[in-house]
Amino acid sequence: MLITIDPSNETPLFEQIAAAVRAGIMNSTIQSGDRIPTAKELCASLDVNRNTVLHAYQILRDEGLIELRRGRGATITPHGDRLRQLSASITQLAKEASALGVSADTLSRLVKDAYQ
Amino acid sequence: MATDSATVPARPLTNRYLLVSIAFPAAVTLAAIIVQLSVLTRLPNPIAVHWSLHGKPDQFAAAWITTALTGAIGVGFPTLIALLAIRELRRGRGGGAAIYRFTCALAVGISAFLGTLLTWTVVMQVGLANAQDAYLSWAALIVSLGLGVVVLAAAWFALPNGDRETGPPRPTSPLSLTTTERAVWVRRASFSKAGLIPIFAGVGAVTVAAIVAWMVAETLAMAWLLTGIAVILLLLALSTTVFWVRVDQTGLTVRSGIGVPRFRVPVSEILGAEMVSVSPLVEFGGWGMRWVPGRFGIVLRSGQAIQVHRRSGKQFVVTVNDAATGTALLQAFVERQPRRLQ
Repeated sequence: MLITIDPSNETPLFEQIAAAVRAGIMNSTIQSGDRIPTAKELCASLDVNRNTVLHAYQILRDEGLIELRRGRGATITPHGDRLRQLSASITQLAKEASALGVSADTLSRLVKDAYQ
Repeated sequence: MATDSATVPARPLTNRYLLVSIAFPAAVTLAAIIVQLSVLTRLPNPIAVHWSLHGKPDQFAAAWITTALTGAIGVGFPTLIALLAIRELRRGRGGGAAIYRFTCALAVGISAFLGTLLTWTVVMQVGLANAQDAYLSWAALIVSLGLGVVVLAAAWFALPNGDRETGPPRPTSPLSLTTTERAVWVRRASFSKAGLIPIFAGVGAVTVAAIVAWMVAETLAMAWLLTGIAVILLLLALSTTVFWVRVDQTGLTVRSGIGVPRFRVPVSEILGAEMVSVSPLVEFGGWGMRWVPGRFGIVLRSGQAIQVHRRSGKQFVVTVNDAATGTALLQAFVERQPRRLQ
């Protein structure tokens, strides 16, 4: 699992970390059942605050993508597989939207509305 | 790919094997035979050829049988092994030299052990009227075993490696990282499932033996010994089943699932990183944490692995999935280092 963050980017670091894990799930480098390291280990490697990593893990847990165990790091749940099934559609949608000049924010708002 | 500068040509390799693995044991065996023959006339007839655990002789035979056995095993065994090894090495399986080297050294060691022991059993019966009085002491076994081990070690060091890759690392295109970006690559690597079965079967067997020893033992010493061995084996087995492989700005870290052992190669010590494909049996003589001259590997399965060329000239290898990404990231960190004068 590769996690890249850029402190110079305006997106908050915990968001970047969560996005990196999500991306790994989507492109299959991280599989259901894989373990990702504990917050303590990850924060040391990335040189960020432990709470930043924990925040990212909590987001992912709330999305149902990981399962947190005390002191044992986190495990990827099978939910990621379902997410991955959307991957092709998402890429297609993003491409279309981009070609039409629709921004990512507008698109996500439209998708949110579609849930009603 | 750069030329393999250390490819050993076939001839000197074979000659060294012939010398160490055939000629040397033959000479030692010849000496043993000469010693045995020289005392032949002063031996009882028949001589003792087998002893119980208490050292009392319980089987007897003509003296020449022991001498013939000494010759046959002392020369035949290492010669056979060496010929097999040389045949494989000539076929270009030089990468597996570690396994042939060890097997031949082992054969030479065994030949020395048996030659010493058999000669000892003959010589100790010199001057005896009756072979029934020929008691064998534990010293004979211990000394012979010790000598066998010393000869094994000497043979190991005397035997050469096969050819191995010592060229500079293949160029790896590094992961592109901006100066502000930070990255980490982590992956869990586990022992091939099939390989775990014999390991834990072995641990299980020793555990059962320990339990039995506690129930049946005459002396507790055996039970304690077996328990100790079972515990050590279990810890070793557990430590080798799962490893966490991590690449970050500090370098490559490989840590056992139970915490220890851990192996670290700092970025400053890395000349280059490359992805390789590993054949555990051929290149390392097996699986697990393996040392061959110039190379240390955490070899949990065959296939893709991250290989690091250290400034010391040695290589460190760890088998892990998605090795391509790990290698690319490691190379990126290596290249981030300010250039050092060699």
